[in-house]
Amino acid sequence: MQPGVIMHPVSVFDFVTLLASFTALIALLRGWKQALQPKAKYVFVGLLIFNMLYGLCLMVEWTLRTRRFDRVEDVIGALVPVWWAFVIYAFLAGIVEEELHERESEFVELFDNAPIGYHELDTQGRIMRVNRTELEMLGYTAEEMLGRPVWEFSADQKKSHDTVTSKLAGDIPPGRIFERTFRRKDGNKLPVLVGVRLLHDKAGNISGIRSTLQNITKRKQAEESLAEERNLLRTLIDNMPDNIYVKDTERRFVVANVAVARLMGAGTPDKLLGKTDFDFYPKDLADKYFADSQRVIESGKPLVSQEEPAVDPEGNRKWYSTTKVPLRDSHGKTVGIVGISRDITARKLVELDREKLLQTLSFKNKELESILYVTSHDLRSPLVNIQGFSGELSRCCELIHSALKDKIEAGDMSEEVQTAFNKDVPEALGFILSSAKKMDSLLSGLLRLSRLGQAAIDIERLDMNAMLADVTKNMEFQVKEAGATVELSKLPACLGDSSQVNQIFSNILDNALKYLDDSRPGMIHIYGKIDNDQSIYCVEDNGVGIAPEHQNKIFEVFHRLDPDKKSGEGLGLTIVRRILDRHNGKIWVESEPGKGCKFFVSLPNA
Amino acid sequence: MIEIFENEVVMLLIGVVVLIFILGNRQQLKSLPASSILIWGFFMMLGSWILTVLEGFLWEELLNYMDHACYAIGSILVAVWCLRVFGGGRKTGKEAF
Repeated sequence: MQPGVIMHPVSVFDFVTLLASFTALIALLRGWKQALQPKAKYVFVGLLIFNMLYGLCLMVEWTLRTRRFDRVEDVIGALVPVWWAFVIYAFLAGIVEEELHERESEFVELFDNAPIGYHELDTQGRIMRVNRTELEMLGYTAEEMLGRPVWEFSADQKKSHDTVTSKLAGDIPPGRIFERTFRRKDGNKLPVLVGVRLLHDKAGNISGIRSTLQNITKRKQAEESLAEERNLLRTLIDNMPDNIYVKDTERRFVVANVAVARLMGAGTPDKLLGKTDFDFYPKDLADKYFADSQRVIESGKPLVSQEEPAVDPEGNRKWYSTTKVPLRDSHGKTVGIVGISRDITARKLVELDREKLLQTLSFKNKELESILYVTSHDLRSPLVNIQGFSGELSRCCELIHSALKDKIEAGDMSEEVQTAFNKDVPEALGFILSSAKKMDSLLSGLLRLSRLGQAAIDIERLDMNAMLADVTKNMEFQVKEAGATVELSKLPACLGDSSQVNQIFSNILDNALKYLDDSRPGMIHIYGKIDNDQSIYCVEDNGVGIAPEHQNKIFEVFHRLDPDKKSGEGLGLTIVRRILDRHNGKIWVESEPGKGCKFFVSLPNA
Repeated sequence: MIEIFENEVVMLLIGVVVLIFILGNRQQLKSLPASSILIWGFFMMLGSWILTVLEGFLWEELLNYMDHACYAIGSILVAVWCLRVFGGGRKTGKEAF
């Protein structure tokens, strides 16, 4: 190589190398604290220096065209790739170290911010390590806890001391999880769940204890609250007179109150638990209960107020009104039944008595109706005879009177005989006939009344406008004779037997016409309205009215307001009430004497 | 005329060993900030060492130019990497390891 002073083109590249390496070195030194592990940076500085020197050697070589620095160049040139190896190694080591550091940081973070407290004890029971969660839980600083025996922080120091020392001595195995109460720095007690694990050294000797602490204050409060509620519920259940129980799907008692235990002769509720009705009741009764419960469990529908028979321990027959509802778990699955039953034996006995009484009453009523019918029917025969023979007697008297006319006129007969023929006998016969007529009228009324109870009723929808129009038309003669006017408003329809409802309004209208006030023109107004499921009709008149003391009696048999002046048997309103009873209807009256009456009739709405 | 210098062969061999080392740990090296620039810097230098050996066999002058050029480019890439890593603001996390 020839020496020269002019720069060879290759030297330009070498100069660039030198300059770039120098720039890199300056950048690294200026930003020394910016990045990379220190070890890696030192190694990298070495690489840059060698690179710079190598570039310098090359530049000198090619600029001066000399091989004077060949040895140096060779050595530095060989060091460059070697130093690259160091750089890569240092970087990798740095990366690994950084990852380890990160892991450690993560571990410390996890340790300190774990949701549970954590501490480690040495062989003397002193706290050697404690995490931030436990410090916050107990309210101490690390300095206040580290090095101190753990039992100093326990609410029951002696128990804690004995337990910890025994565990460390290997006398008792560590309980996996147990509850303990710690004492906070502020003096409050802190219930915790402690998990314990023994630490061993390489020789297998116990070297300490590692414990986790879980704050269970809320759980404890919830448990206490739950216990209070359970106690309250238990007190309520046990003091209820009703039988309350819960059975599982196998129909075994899982809850029962005192009343149930008493009923079943078990003594106390505890003795019922796990048992079924088959352990206490006769098979047929137990089978019935089982079937009812089965129905509730399978259908998932409650059985409400079902009346059930039962037998008490003394063998007495009892009755209970029972409600059974399915018991479901949080997923809605039926897991049993809840039953509540109430002793209704007394009510049931009363109901049975009432039933018997009603049957007797019904029987007696039928008997009475029968007697009434037979009496009224059979009495008419002798009455007809009395009427007939009285007439015959009257005619005979007239014949005798005609035959003896000459003698009477000649004065051949005594005055007494004459009086008997002319006055006493006709008068007596007149009384007999009028009484028989009266009696016939009464018997006819009674017969109609008795027939009402036996007649079949055919319920249908009734057009009351048409019916009342018909009734007033049929009574047109009486209306004219009484000099009254009848006003008919629009009426709602109802349900009833056509002929019997017709009878109701005929009787009421007849009464209204009969008891009009002679001092003013008679006015009768018939109107109606619908009230819930009833059609209510009113027959209003401006007649003489009814005194309050008579208003309840007018519906009784044979009751008449003015028997001397007005005709009738006193059965019209009795028949009306009887018909309405059979139609589930009602009748009532509002009246003011001297002003008139309002008869109200209610019938089922159509 | 074939001219082989031992020192150039040694540089190449060491470079190849480093290359293998880099390829074997490429996943971890990716966590280096702007690692691709640095790695390409090394590749350019390795290329330069290959060209140095090759110029003993053929096209001596051309390959010599290319050899020096490659080395210069490699050095520039290393400088760029340094400027990227140390010249900017403070880095955080792995970026700043």
